[in-house]
Amino acid sequence: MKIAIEHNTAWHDESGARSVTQLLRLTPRDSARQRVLAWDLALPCQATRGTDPYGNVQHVLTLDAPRQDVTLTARGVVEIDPNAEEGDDGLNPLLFLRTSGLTQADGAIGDLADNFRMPHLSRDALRALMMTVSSEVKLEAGTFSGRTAAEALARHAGTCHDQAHVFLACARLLGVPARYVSGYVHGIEANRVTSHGWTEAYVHGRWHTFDVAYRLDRATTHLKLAIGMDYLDACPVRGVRFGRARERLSAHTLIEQAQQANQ
Amino acid sequence: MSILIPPAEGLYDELLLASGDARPHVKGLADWLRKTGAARFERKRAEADLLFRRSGITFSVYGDAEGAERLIPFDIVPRVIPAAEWQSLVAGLKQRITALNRFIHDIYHDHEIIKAGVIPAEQVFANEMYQVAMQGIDLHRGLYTHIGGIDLVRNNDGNWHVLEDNLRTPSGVSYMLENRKMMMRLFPELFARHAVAPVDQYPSLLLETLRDASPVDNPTVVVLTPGRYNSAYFEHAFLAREMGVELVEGADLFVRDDYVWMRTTRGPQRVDVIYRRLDDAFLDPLAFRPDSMLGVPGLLAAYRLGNVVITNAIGNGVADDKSIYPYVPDMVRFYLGEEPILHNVPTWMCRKPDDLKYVLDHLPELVVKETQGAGGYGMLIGPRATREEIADFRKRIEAKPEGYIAQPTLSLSTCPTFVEEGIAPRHIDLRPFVLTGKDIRIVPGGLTRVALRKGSLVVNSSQGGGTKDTWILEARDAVADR
Repeated sequence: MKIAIEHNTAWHDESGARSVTQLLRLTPRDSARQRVLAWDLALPCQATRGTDPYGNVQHVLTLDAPRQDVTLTARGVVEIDPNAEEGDDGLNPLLFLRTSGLTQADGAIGDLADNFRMPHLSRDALRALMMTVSSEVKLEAGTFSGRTAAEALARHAGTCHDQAHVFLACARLLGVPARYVSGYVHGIEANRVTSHGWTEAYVHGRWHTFDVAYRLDRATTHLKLAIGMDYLDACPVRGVRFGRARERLSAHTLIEQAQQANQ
Repeated sequence: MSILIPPAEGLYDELLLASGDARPHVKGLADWLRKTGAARFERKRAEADLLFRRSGITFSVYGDAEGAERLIPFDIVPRVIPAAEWQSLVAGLKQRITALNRFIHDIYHDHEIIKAGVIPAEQVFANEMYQVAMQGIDLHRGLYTHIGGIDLVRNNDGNWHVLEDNLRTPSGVSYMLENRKMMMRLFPELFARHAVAPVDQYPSLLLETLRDASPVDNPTVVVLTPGRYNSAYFEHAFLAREMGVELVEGADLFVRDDYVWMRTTRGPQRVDVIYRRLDDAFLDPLAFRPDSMLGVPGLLAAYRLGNVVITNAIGNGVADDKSIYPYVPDMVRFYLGEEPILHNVPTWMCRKPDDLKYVLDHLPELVVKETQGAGGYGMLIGPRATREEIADFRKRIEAKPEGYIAQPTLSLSTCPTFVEEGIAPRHIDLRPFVLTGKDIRIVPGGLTRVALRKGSLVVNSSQGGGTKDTWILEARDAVADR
């Protein structure tokens, strides 16, 4: 199936920031599951294309002059084979046993994971873990909250990103390499494309999709943009701005999220 | 009457033999210590304190009230190493740093040492300090550790051991330089009588090393500091000034078109080499910790394209982690085909079930360390610990065995030190600084840390340690040449 995407990210900034640097992971790659037929990024200034540590396509965008309104548009057509699983991308699975800031486990996550502890974890066990996480952390709509996996589990509610982080923290505790995936899904809730986050876990010598939000143990209409240890490694847009306050870094990190994604 | 107190039995003293006589290479120094009265030492020490305070050499200790700064106590009795012994240490340090550089290159490229079964894959790839960002990146000269600090101790049998490798942002070199200046000022007569090898060439060798790290002709070098609240800020400012390069904070740098620029009054200037004194996690808020206000957004992308050199390289932490330390002798054999000149301290790895059992059964006699701890905070010294401390540590080890290693309690060598009771033996270590550029160079000297409390083995400045001037004596023929 072919999916046409137009993904606009827009933000309004009245802080008079001196400069803004954005890291964009808004360009999908070809794989066993997906073929990029056309793709175009419309940006407010030129940015060079590069590859990030996980092989994702990235652009680094620096805006020197203060601007109040900035819009980024990613537009393209991707052909997806809903029946195919991902092939090997050459990254060592052991890398995805490490923890990250957002997927650090605490006692409660340890207790949750302990229910699934066994010598060789099967795909079925991971499916059960996914179902458990999905019921322990009720799905809420919304953009990324900045919460850690431990905080999300304590709230018993969270976005798709939070659910993914809880799943990742548990899987890694259980010795299963697991990673965050950002991208789009088409037509699961309605007949449209939405920005989404899910996970992949490495079992039986290959990566398998586990989408906690939609309780899916395989990719269907998922279009992959990027992978990483957690949301921050893989999210479509990550930015930092420098403020003017006494010409010192008074900055905080802003995580921009897609405003809309239309077919 | 002499105030020189003889060393305790069974310990190796750097100045005195068990008989109470001086070791041959320090006879002159021992005579001087015996002849000089306590009153003069006291006066000189007060003078040193005043001078250090005036020149602003202070050190802030984490956990103190904000802004509280302390002087690291400076001891006026130097520690002395004879020429021949230093030569053998130098050979060992060069060998070790070469192997460590080869190891870091290997684990980010072809993984030969893992394929050969010398080091288990998960020890490397699942290590929190392993940086995926470094995979397949080719650095100029294949160098990762441009500035290394290797901590050495001498055991009571007189043999040297490596306690740990510091391959990220080793600090303390400013004390090596300032302590020497202070000694020359306080006791010029000692330097007339002893052929002490100079150390003041360190800043120019450091600058040369940093320039060697870049493929660019005449590269622009900066020192990147986390800022004035960092415990080693004094040293960052000191080294930048001594090298004649800019001291910058993250906000002074920015990335545009994949190059790094420095804001100056005459407009942006390209930066080619960043001597960074902040940890990987803070370097780039777009790639690592998003809450870091200390780094430079986009720096990692510029670095990965080879448009800027960062010294030391990103991702070195996996090689100086205490869980990797036990494998360093094997690295020397694997990469260089040589037997290691410098020995490790025997180490039990708690991630191995047999080692774990041994450690838990022998806690009161062992030193237990966190694999990623630094600064002497997360460690247990069995013989000195209370029963509660041991019980508490047992729980911590059982909860996360892979997070701990254990070693026998070494009897670190002692050196006479001016304390309340007189000039008494106190335990010391040694951190020489190894510079690697076109060649490997080691300034004859280093940072000697001393545990000022009687019997204490913890020399870290954050735990009440002091420092001493370190003298490497020049060989006789070298003196004749001068």
